[in-house]
Amino acid sequence: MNFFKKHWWCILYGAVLTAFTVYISLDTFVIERISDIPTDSISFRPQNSSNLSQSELFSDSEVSSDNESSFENSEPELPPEPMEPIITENSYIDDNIMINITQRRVNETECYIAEVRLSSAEYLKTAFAKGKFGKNIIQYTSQIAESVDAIFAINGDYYGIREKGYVIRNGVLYQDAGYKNNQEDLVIYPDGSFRIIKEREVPAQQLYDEGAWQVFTFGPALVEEGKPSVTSADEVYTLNASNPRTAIGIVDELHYIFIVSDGRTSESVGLSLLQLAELMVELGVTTGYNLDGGGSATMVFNGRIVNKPTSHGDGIYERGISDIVYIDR
Amino acid sequence: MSTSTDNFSKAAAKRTLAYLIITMFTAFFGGVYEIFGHGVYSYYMLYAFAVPLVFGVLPNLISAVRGTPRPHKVAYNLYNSGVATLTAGSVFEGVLEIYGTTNRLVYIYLIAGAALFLAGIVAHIIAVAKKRII
Repeated sequence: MNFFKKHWWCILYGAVLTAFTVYISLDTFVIERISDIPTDSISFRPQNSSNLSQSELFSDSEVSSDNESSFENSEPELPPEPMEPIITENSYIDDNIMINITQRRVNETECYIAEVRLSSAEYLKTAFAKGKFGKNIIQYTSQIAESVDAIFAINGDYYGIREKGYVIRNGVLYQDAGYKNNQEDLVIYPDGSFRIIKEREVPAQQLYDEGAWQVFTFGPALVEEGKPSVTSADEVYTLNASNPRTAIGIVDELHYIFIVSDGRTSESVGLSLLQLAELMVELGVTTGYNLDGGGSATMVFNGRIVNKPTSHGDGIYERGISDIVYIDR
Repeated sequence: MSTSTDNFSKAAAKRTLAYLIITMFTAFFGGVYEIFGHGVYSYYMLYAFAVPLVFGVLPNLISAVRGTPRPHKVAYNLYNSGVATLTAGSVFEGVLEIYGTTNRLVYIYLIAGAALFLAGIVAHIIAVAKKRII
């Protein structure tokens, strides 16, 4: 009793500090907070719909390489026209979409490369966990992909762990609070083109008014004008080691490369940002962007997890994330 | 006179030891957290131990050497609460940075910690001034 009397302030303030820390921890990592979905949105305005023939979709594949390993049927046969979707273990083709996934070993790391050709950028979509925009709303990449019947998906930028950073998805402006630092965003326009911007230089509203279809806040930009735009010293959230990675890049009109690399395992050490950028350049990417990696790095094709996601290397399992980038069939 | 000075020195040495343990624990915690951070590091986490070291160990060590009496209880409590809040805030900001996230409430650690810290110093100055007047 005497102890409590003597140290009442210490005990009381310690309890207050602990309670606040517990609350802020729950607020950061656990408590779901759903934001109002803006009613003001633009409809998709397709531009440059290419209506490519199947032979055009499969011409001059950029990702074919002698280093590819072990995926069966990596070159699907051309279908007759008109066609039902043809799906193999690692490819998909229909009138508007061609997806071809290959696997390569780069820098002691398994990399999963999806080459995607579209007839229109409207097939390149994003989705939120549980279909809701907000904080701490998470699902596995495979679950979100299943909920929107995606043929192909990768994890997005995990917007839900940040309180700032532009969020424009499928033409809807969800969040316009930007960073004042050198935060680089990837903007995808309705014609399917990519643009790298800095949030401190371009307001979100301007991007929205320009008709931005998707905006991602993670980064950094990996490739610009066909050259690596990162160095070995570049960091993400003071992270510069080899890790699992997810990246998206554009080769030319409506022709994209998605890369997910493993990491943190004895089988795969992971890639640095520079190694990832160099791989993208090798694949012909002209503009490439780094999305959320680490335990989030996941690629899903036709309901199957393609890579080996892991947070700590202690097991292969998905991490809950807040958003995906997917191809809508 | 020398006995009271010795007592003051002993009490200050105890406080120094307590702060030293807190400093070492914070440094150990930060080090372990960084080891499991997959190459992600945060200066807030790495250097969180500097707060109790600079604002706890050092002043109490000086007090132990000089044999100065403990500050007034209110000033002492406010000051220690400020140091504790700033240390906890630094560690928590480190956790956020390593995870790659932010929280709008984290600034409360800094504001509350600095306010308590300064209030402790002001209370100490007032207590010393009152003693002199008396």
